Amino acid sequence: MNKRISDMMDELSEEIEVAETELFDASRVSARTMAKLHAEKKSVFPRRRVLRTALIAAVMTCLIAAMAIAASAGDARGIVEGIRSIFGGAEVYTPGEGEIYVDTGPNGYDMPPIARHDVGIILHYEVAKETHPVVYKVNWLPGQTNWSNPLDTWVEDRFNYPYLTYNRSWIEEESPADREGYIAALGLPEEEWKDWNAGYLCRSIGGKGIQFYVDVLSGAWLYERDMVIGQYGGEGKVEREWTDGDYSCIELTMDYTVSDNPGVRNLGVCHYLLLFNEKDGYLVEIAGTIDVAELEKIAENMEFHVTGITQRAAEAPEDVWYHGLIDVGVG
Amino acid sequence: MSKPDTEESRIAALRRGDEQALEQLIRQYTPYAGAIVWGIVGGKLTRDDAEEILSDVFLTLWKNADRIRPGKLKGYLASIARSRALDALRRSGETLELEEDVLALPDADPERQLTQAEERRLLRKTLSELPEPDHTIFIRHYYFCQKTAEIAAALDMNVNTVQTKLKRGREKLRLALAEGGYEHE
Repeated sequence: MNKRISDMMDELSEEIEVAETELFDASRVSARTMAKLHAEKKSVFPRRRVLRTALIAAVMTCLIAAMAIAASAGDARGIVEGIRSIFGGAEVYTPGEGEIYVDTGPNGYDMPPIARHDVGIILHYEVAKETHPVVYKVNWLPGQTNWSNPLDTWVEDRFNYPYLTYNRSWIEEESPADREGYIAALGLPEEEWKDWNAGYLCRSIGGKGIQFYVDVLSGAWLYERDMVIGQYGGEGKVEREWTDGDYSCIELTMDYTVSDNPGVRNLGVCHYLLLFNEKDGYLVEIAGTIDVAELEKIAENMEFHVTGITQRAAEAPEDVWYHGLIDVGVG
Repeated sequence: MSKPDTEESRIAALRRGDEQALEQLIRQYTPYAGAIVWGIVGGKLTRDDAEEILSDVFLTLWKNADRIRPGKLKGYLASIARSRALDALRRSGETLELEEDVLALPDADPERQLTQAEERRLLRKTLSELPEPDHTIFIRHYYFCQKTAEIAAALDMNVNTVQTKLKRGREKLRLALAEGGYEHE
């Protein structure tokens, strides 16, 4: 990514020595602020909680077809106090509401104020002891780019999460695949594998910095969904929520053009489709700057298959949760 | 006994929707936020414009009170003040002419939070090692986004000298990033 020195300087804002000025009349600034404050209606996002669901270890194939029926509205914001989780290979604590401390040993640090956090949405998962990798077929993709073979899959455990059985892989335009390696890692017979993908399909669309991707998270059951909308200066909006069979579906728009950060502003407007299968405990995330109708068409044409493979998590402390961070591929 | 008037208590009051707390914070921080805003827009926009920007800054503070950690208020205000001032400059048609401002860094991913921390450390180290007036020039240019001619006039220096000192600062930052394992141009 290209990063400006001037943007990097912004990250040191509180450390820059500034000689205060008496040039401005605080009472006038206050009067202006109050006038604006009273003129504006503050919008508040409602909260919604998704209950934990039972584990059903079965092989299943599901076709997401016409998605309809509105469910309750909602999203919420906030990182609650007292959570321990893993993020980027480091242990993370939330010492207080909205506070995140990344414990990397001697170089541990506070994450930036959550309002400047490079995260759109935070999903909380309960650690599951046993999980079953989910694979999928993408039967339709936008036609404006030349997609590589969606079966060319390679895997990377991006989070290096020690407690979850967590699978994620992706396909990139320029990356040669190591499908065999992933198959071997999963222990899945190749003949069973040949028609399915596992994980993370991403692509730049139209030269935009943000990626289009399909991301299937398995290995944990959705316990509670707390969303942090509008972080890093972006403005998030839940466009609609609905259910379709076992899927709880959410369509979000993140408008990064209002971000405080020039680098993030360039991302424009990104659409997200989040499809939670509460029965089998996985999340499908489809996101990109492409038209939401195209995202929906991708979703409508996807098939998912919960494999019969059983993966067992390492022993996890009960108070450790997983934060699924939906990053936006800045840059 | 009344509760001590701390930053924490004021933020808590903001979160409760206490407008008096906001007014107190405006009184306390207008000189600070005003210096940042004026450091950026001074000489380009009017004082009235700057007051308008400041009111936007404090309105943002009000709206985002639940995201601000005690002890981080000043940094948050600084960041918002800078951002709003730069936005206002852009809207006015002013172009930011910054010397070779772009570094190429690895793509962002979930590990990026760690990268940013390291990035901040390296930038902080670089700045602390810059002698004066190089340090001041670097801050004026890359933080307050002041043009080299403006800086030269303010510090009574030659524009070429300012550019040379900026180049030296950039080179030190490049070296620090390289030592930290970053790619750069």
